[in-house]
Amino acid sequence: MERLNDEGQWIVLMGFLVSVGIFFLAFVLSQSTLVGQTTSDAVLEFPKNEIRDYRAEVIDLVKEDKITDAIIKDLKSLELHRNNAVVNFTYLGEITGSPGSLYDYTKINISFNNGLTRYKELCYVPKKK
Amino acid sequence: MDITLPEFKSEIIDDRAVSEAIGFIILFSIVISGIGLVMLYGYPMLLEGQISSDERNMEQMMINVQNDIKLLTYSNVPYRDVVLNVAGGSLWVHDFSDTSQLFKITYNGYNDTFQPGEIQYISDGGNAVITVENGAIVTRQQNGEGSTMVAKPRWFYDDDTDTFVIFLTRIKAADTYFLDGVGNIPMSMLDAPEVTDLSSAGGNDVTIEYTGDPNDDYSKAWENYFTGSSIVDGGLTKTGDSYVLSNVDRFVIKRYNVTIGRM
Amino acid sequence: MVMADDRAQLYTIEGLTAGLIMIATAYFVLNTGFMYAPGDAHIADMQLEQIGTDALLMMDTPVNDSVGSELEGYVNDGTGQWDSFNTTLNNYLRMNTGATSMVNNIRYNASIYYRKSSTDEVGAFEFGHFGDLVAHEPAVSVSRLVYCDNNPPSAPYDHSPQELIFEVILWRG
Repeated sequence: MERLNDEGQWIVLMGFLVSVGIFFLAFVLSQSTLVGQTTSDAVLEFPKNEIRDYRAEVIDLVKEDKITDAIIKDLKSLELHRNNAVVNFTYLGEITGSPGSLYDYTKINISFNNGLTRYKELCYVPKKK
Repeated sequence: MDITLPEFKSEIIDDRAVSEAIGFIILFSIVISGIGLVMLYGYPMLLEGQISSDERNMEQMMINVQNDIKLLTYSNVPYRDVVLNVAGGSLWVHDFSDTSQLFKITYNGYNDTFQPGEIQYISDGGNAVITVENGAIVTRQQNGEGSTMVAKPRWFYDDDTDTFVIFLTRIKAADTYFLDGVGNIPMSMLDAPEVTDLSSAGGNDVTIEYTGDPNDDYSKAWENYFTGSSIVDGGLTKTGDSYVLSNVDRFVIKRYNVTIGRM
Repeated sequence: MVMADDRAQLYTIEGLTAGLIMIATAYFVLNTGFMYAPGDAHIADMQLEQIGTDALLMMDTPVNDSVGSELEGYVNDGTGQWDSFNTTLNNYLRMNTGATSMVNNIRYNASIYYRKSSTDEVGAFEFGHFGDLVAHEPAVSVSRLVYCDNNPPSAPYDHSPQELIFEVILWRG
């Protein structure tokens, strides 16, 4: 057998490293899961704006004393028909601020549920004395 | 001190009796059997990989289709198109009237049967069948029993108000459509969803029964969905062939009609 | 006689290894999906939805506590205020520096949804639209709850005060 020719070892080594690199990349590529459910889908699905809108509206109405039975019915029915959400609103009473404080509070419970996301808040709505 | 390395023995092997013809035959047969082995094991492996990758892709593609159906229905948008590449099989759209699977829903005197229709992918090389049915993605093997749910519909029970909300998504198509290769599924929802809002003070039972097509049966998938905890903790109770949720004060059914145009 | 020599054994082994690596690479690549529908298919929709929500939020934010918001003003007047709504929304949607003239291709349709107190059903009427949905453009929808204590003649409301949903469907035309 001929004696091994050990010239050009670096070139051989680099070639080998490159091929291992390509192999590794291919492996990583095949492991990366394909997603039909992308981040943007999750963002579109998450009802952030609906919850914020509902919450802001209810708090505004409570602040301005505009809540009536008809309004609550409107809210429930519209949220169900247009946003597929079951919403609830419970009035938990007035809380008088301590003497000298600037605000009284109305204690309310807000909930929003569209099957995917559930939001519940116990909220003290301030009202100027 | 000096060390003298011994010379290689190979240089002194006497190779006068070696026949070149036999050497060539041996080398050639090694090469041929090498190629044979690669063909025997490597090629089916590559093919298998191709099929399973097609099926996995279609599963994800169906999630894409479902996402567009969700946008169409839950966000009240009139049109959505899905561009997709159907590989390793074919995609079919069946109008609800051409399919036989159905949901029977009963609540406090209210009775209804609902046929969902389907968008279905059937793999040619493999055995997978992936179906978009009533807002869910279900899958089964062509030759096997059983089925699983890849993506769930968004039915839910709100325990604050004891409200059970279900969504029924119907696929409508003027004809049975077929797609292979790159294509477009034009989807539209032009009529407003119908909402049935039922309530019964003190609560009542909601009974849901799924009847599968014997040749295309996803009852196991639906059973796991109903009895699992995604609708309500603990799931619905299985009684015979139907699933029961008790003490529902308010039961809401939302019905969507998704029309698929010519692909 | 020419010898079948045994030189270049290392090269043979190298060749074999390279072949194996190539086959394995091909296997992994084929195992990877080629997806025609890109994973970023809904990014544009997400952005459009955000633009729409922000525009409506701006419109629904009053300048101070004692007055209602712009949007409340428009809605309280039935469909009569479509023109001023159209101008405001268009202005919000095409916000630009003025340094370049920009093409605004966002089109929309606005509707109002209300509850019919007699049947508890939800009714709808069109508030107005800018552009037409002609070619199945993919759209997104955004909405705001609006308080209304007026009963304008152009609207089919049956009770007052009430809560309405103002829904805008947006698409790129």
